[in-house]
Amino acid sequence: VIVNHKLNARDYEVRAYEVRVPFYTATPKVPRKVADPALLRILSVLPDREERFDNVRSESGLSKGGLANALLEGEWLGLLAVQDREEEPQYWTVKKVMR
Amino acid sequence: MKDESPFTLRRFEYERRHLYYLPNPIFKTLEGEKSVFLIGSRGTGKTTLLTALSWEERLRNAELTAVLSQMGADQNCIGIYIKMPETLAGAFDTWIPAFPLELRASVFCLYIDLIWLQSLMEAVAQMLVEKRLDAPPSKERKLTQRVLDRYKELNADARQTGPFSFKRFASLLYEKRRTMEKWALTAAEPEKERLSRAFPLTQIGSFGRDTENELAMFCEDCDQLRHKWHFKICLDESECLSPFQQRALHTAIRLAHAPVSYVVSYVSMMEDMSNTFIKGMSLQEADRELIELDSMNDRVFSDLAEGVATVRIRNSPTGEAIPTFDTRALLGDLDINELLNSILQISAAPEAKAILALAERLSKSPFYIDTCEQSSTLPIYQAYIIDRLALELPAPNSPHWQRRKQDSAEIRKRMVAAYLCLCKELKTRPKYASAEMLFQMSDKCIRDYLNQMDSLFSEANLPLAEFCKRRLTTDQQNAALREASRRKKDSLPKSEVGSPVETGRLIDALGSLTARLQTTEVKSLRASEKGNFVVDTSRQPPEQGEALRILKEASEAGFFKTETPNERRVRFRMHCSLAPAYGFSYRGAYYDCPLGIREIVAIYHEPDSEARQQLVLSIGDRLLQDSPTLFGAKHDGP
Repeated sequence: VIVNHKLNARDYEVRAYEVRVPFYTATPKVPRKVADPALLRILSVLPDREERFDNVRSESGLSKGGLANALLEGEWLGLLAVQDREEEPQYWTVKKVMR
Repeated sequence: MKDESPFTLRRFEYERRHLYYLPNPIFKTLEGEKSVFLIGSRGTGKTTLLTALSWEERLRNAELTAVLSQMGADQNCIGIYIKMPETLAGAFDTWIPAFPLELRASVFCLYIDLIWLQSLMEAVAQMLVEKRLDAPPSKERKLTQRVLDRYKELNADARQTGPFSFKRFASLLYEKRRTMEKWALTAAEPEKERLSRAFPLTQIGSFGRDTENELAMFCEDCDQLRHKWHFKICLDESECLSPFQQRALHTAIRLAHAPVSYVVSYVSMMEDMSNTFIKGMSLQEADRELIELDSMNDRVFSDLAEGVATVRIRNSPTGEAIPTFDTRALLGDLDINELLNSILQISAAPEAKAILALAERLSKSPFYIDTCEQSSTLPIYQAYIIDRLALELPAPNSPHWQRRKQDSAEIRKRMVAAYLCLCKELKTRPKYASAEMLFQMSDKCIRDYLNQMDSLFSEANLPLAEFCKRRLTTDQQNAALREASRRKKDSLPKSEVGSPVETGRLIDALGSLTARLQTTEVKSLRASEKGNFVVDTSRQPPEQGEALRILKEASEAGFFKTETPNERRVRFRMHCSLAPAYGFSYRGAYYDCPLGIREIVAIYHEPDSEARQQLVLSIGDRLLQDSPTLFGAKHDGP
């Protein structure tokens, strides 16, 4: 994660912008090998469309905390995209990354 | 062991879990599709009613959800609660003073729009999470993109990058509001162009209206039952807004249309409740409902008070299962003659024996037998009035016999005056007891009802279950109601009045004056319960502004009861809850007494209590002259 700080010349406010660079491997098999088993379960139930956190939770049967951690790991491994990460997990939406 | 009182008073804000009893007709009006002005002095339950509409409170408080579903409340209404003093509205009153009023009004209304739209976005996001609404995330983003395309100023500096879910759009609105607040707080003087580049400024309230239209359509589309949705913006304690801001708000209300409407609460009627910033357009009855909590009828108030008491008892730690709390079962009905009898029987004064003998004789007279309701107690107050006013009772077949029922009614009207005068004559304090007295002394204020109930509970010293079944003695009631009144009187320094010392002097002086006007024997019997003070405000002496402010603040804090003032006069009386503390009628006052602005000013400016007392005596002497007569000149007393 790269945090980019920008100074606004108008009001002298410093704002932080996050740039996330996912883990990249030559083949998608590698992340799947090292991933948490919970993440693999999530990937198996996750449809191709964007899905709300609670829907994934009911499909995967994971706890809120367990699912949140697994999703963040999935994002780091470049397998998933998580929207609204700065909010509470119930507001997240998740989508598979096609490689 | 004694249970914790379920009637303990706390401001809504200090309660961890608020209990709700919602009067059905009032609540239905509030959640309806029309805007509402909710007027009520402190403690009348405005905050309870407004927070019951709030989506956040519904989410937090399962009990409220149950109450609402039981009463068939609208499940497709999203209420947004905003406590106006907690906003930074004050900073906007003096900001950009050189700009045209309409532009300043537009800026202020945009500020309010940004607050409630943020909350509304969060509400809809929450309903999507809870699956009350069902929509793919892409649909949310399309909506927010449409709004951003129309109002590019919202993300002009691209501080946040899209796409925006409702939750993130709420954050964007919050950021925008914070920027606006910073500018206003630091009194930044932007050029008009810069202001309009930074904020979506158009017609007053237009940004809010456009966005809520989009949201209403979204909700309907995503509701499996295809219900129509509407939004209620609840602005509490709006009296903190300046007249300019109130006018701007009234303009937004005038321009509002379904699915959005407002509930604006004020502690009293504001001076201008109809003007807007649009030429030739005012806020009319057709645009809004008006609910005045201080003038609800007795029946509605007693139902509300007992409903609140019932909910509190049922939710107390001991969880008493009572059907409905019954004040009348606890305190009994009012019987002035019974109260007088209990006082006279133990009095050593010869006048007491004489009045009892007169009452005995009256109880056997044809006039009494024919006109009065038969009762087991002696007609003491009637005998006292007839004797002191030297009334000649008509004999059967005499020409005046025809009028006996009217005469009897005239006597009954003076029941309370007679009670107070007789107690004064016997140098004893009147007793305050019965359900009727308690309701009257609450003066339509739930907080005063609970204060009195709390004092009764404490005086009874019983477990809650026992308390709910018992009838308290007159002496227990009297002691408790006196204590409650004293507590109320002593609460002045903690109230929100601006000049507590001056206000305290005025309350004390007018409390004593009211008691004197109502207990000066014959004069008080002729015009029952004087003490409705009428102040002529047409002459406008220089000190009038300050005097009226003190009166207004004391009324809002529940020490006086003021009628809606007009340009020519202000009419007010002591709040009934203070009756036992000063010894005046539990009904307050009925008859008008002119009081000068200069007299009011002289009272509250006088630091010496004896000199103040002297002032009150001379005002009293003036007011006691020229009383109206009873039964016309022929039957007039000495």
